[in-house]
This record gives sequence, structure tokens and C-alpha cells, in this order.
Amino acid sequence: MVRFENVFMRYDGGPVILRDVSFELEPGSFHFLTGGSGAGKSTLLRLMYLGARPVSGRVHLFDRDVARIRRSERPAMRRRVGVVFQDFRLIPHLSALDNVALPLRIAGTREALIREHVPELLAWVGLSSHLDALPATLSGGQQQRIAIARAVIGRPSLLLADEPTGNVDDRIAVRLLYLFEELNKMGTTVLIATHNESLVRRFDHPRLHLEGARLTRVSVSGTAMSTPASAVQAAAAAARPA
Amino acid sequence: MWGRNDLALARDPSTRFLPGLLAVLVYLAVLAAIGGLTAHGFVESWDQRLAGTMTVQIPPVAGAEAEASRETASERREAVLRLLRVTPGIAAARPLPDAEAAALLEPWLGPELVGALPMPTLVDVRLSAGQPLDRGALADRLENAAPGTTLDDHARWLADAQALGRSIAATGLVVIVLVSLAAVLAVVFAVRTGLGVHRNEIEILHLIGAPDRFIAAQFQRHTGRLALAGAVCGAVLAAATVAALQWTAADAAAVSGPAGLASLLDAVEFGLRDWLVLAVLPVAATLIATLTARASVLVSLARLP
Repeated sequence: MVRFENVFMRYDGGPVILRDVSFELEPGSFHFLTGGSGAGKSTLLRLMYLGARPVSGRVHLFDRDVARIRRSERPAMRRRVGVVFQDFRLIPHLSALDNVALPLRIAGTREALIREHVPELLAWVGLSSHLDALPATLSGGQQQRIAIARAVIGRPSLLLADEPTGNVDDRIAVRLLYLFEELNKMGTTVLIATHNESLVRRFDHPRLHLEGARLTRVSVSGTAMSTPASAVQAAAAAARPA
Repeated sequence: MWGRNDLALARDPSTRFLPGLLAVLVYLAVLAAIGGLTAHGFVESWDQRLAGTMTVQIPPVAGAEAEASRETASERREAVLRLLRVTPGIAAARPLPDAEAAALLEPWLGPELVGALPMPTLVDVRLSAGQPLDRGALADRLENAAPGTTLDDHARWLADAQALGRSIAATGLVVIVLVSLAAVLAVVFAVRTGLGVHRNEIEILHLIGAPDRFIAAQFQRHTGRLALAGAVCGAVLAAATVAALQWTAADAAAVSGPAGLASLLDAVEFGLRDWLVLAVLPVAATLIATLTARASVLVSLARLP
């Protein structure tokens, strides 16, 4: 599904953010990505949703080397990836319903189906009374739930979520994690970047940990399993769902 | 064209000038096109009117000689008419009555001069269809019959009129091309500004999988709406202007009479072809604007990494 091979990343001559990162996410796996603020979690996700290119190394997505994906092929690849951005990235003049409906409209889904499914999902994330609300009139937590609904509405093959529970209380955070697990059970590969340790401990999924620009695989029990330069195979083994 | 728009293009001030500009451009284009077509039609109509005709002009006999012998002038006219009527290729020769000739010249010379000046005798000649006429030989024989008589087959006048008509038509075409170019540049400018203003939303759309054509369609629809509104306004204004010009020409023709210059303009009718131009140009302008918007967005987005 996703494979990184010796990936280095830095922005415009700045400090190295990812150093020799190698790992693999198996199809249907569920992982947490942890690390302190500025550890490079968002950058790692950005490389996966084709929002940036590595300085060196290879990133494979859906068995394609992303460096060889033509520009015209990227939209179709991106439609297979649902992304919850840390800053939500909602379109400010569109209602909650229209923001969530965007991936479906881009995919050419019939309006009748959109009118049926989008309110259902928004109700599931607790926003049934805010279908027509503009993002600016909603709280951070509510905006985050819209962003999550937008990321999952198209049933992506890969779901990348950057601090998806950062602005919601624990009760909603758990509910959202259940949503991600449901999606995972339907076959979606899930990677959630978070620094919410209690949430990570509560859900029984393997963890990738970023520290000092290097990636470490951590077992479910919390033991560090490999070094940053570990082989792809080792990471892949850890990536299999429990 | 009327689908939904996920980018807030309607709130974008950079495109608000488009309908007004398109209205002005379409107004100019319609007038230029109708002007060009009218000039072409005018020349064609004169070409048809003058085809198969000639005018023979017998000059007055100058000074005391003419007063002394009116019979000489009459003889000269009769000699010319006899010659014309027996010449193969000529169907009819009709001398223009003095009053009719005077009426033709009166608008140019004034009634006083027309009465005072010696007038040439004009003979309207109709040619037989399909029967060749040796114009050079006829001119020589006319000179022998009545010295100073000239033969005018209108070729020079028609050539000048045709050249003028072609120039006006070409100018109309140039105006249309320039107007189209201005419309294209205006749309390109508006679209590029719009792309800059909506950069963030476009990035979001890209990141969630929107292809360039999805974004281009949004600009295309928005530009199409604005262009159509402007183009229709421009065409309506142009139609009103043409109607006003026709009304003015008809009014002037009624005052100046059939020999007046205004009667020439009045004779040019606003026909089906002109209505078609009125209908087609706004649609063409809308199409040009829409396609330019699409192409401009696609070219700009293709440059993104």
C-alpha cells in the first residue's frame, strides 16, 4: 500500500526533517504515527498524499513509485487517499454539507446519492444540525469533524489523519477512532498521526514513532523494535494488523 | 454552463469588469460586422443596378454657337441616338429628359446654377444580354457623330466603389479580430487573477483529488455566465444603434429626396443576414470567452508542480 525506502526530507535547505526513513504499510493495516511537535509527522503524511517530494529515497504508493507518477495521474491517486489535515483545510464559503460532498462531486457522484449519504455521515459525527453551517461559524472540534467526514466519505483505500482528535473531547475522540476502525474493517489502510498517548494506548494498534528525524517502529506493548535504518521487511512485518 | 461552483468566483472582484467590457466589445464587433456587410451589400447592389447599362454624355455646344443654333444640339442628339439604336449589342437608348437630369444635379450644384449652366444631354443605354459590344469602336463612332461625346460604362465608378466597399469590409474584419483579441486578453487576465485569489481553495481541491479540468470547469462556467450577460447587452445596444441609424437615414432621405446621399443608406435594408450577425456574435463572444477561460486555467495549472 505504502512503502518508504531510505527517504530523506528537508524544506529549502532547512534542517533535515526525515532521515533515512524506511517502512511499509500493508493493505488493511491500522497504525498510529507518534512523535513530538515538529518531529516530522505532518511531513511524512504529506509525502504520502503527494503534497511534497522527498529530497532523496523512494516513496511507493499503491505499488507505484510516486516520482514516476505523471501529473495527470495524480488526481486519481489522490482520490484513493482520504486526508484529515491538521488545519482542517475546509473551503470557507461552502457549508458543512458541501465541504463533505466535495470528494463525491469531484468523483462525479449523483447529487441524489450525495444528498442521501452526506447528511447521514455528518449525523454520525454529531453535526446533523449543522449541515448548512459555514466553517467559520463552527468550533474547532466541529470543523475537525467536518474534515474527518470529508476524508472518509469516499471510502478511500488509504486514510491519513493528522491529529484528527486534537480539538475534540475524549468522548468524541473515541467515537472518531471507532469510525476509523470501522473504515479499517472495510479494508481501508489507516495511519493516524497523534500525540494523544492515552488514545494510542486505548486502541490496540501498532505505532510508528518519529524522533530526531528518524522513524522507529514500536510494538503494541510499547517496546521499541527497530532502529531508524531498519529494513523495510521488518517494518512491514510490524505493519500487519494484529 | 449553469452548474454549481465550489470556488467563490462570483464574489471575486477581479471578474466584475468582464460583463461591461464584453458588452462594449460585442457592441463594437456587431457594428463593425454590420458596417462591413452593409458596405459589401451596397457595392453589390450598385453592381447589379449598373450591370448592362451605360451612359452616353453629349456635351453642350459652348458659347454663342449654342444660342445661335439650338438645332445643332438637337441634331447632335439625334445623330447619337440613331447611331446607338443601330449598333448591335444595344437594346435601348433613352435620352434623359432635361428635368430629370437637372434633378440629379440639383443637390450638388443648387437650383440657381442648374438653371444657369449649359447642361449636357444624357442618354441612358441598355445593353442586350449575351450580345458583345465593342466599346472602343462605339466610342470612336460617337466621337465622329457628335464631337466631344463620351461613353461611360460606370466601370471606373464601380471599381472605386468596390475598392471602398472592400476597404470598409476589411476594416470591419480587423475590428472584429482586434475586439476578439481584447476579449481573450481580458479573460486571460481575469482568470489569472482569479487563480491567484483562490489559490488556497484550488490547492485544497487538488489535494482531495480534483483534476485540473474540474477546476477549469468552474472558471469556465463563471466566465461563460458573465460573458453571456455582457454580450447580450452589447448586442441589444448595437441593435438599438442600427435601428436609430436607419431611422435617421430614412428621415434624411425623406427630406433630401431620391437624389440625396441619405437615400443610398436608406436603400440598404437591415435583413436576415444582419439579424444573424446580431444573434451569432454574442454567442461567438461567449464561446470565445468560455474556451479562453478553460484554456487559460488548464495552462496555468499545468505549470504547477
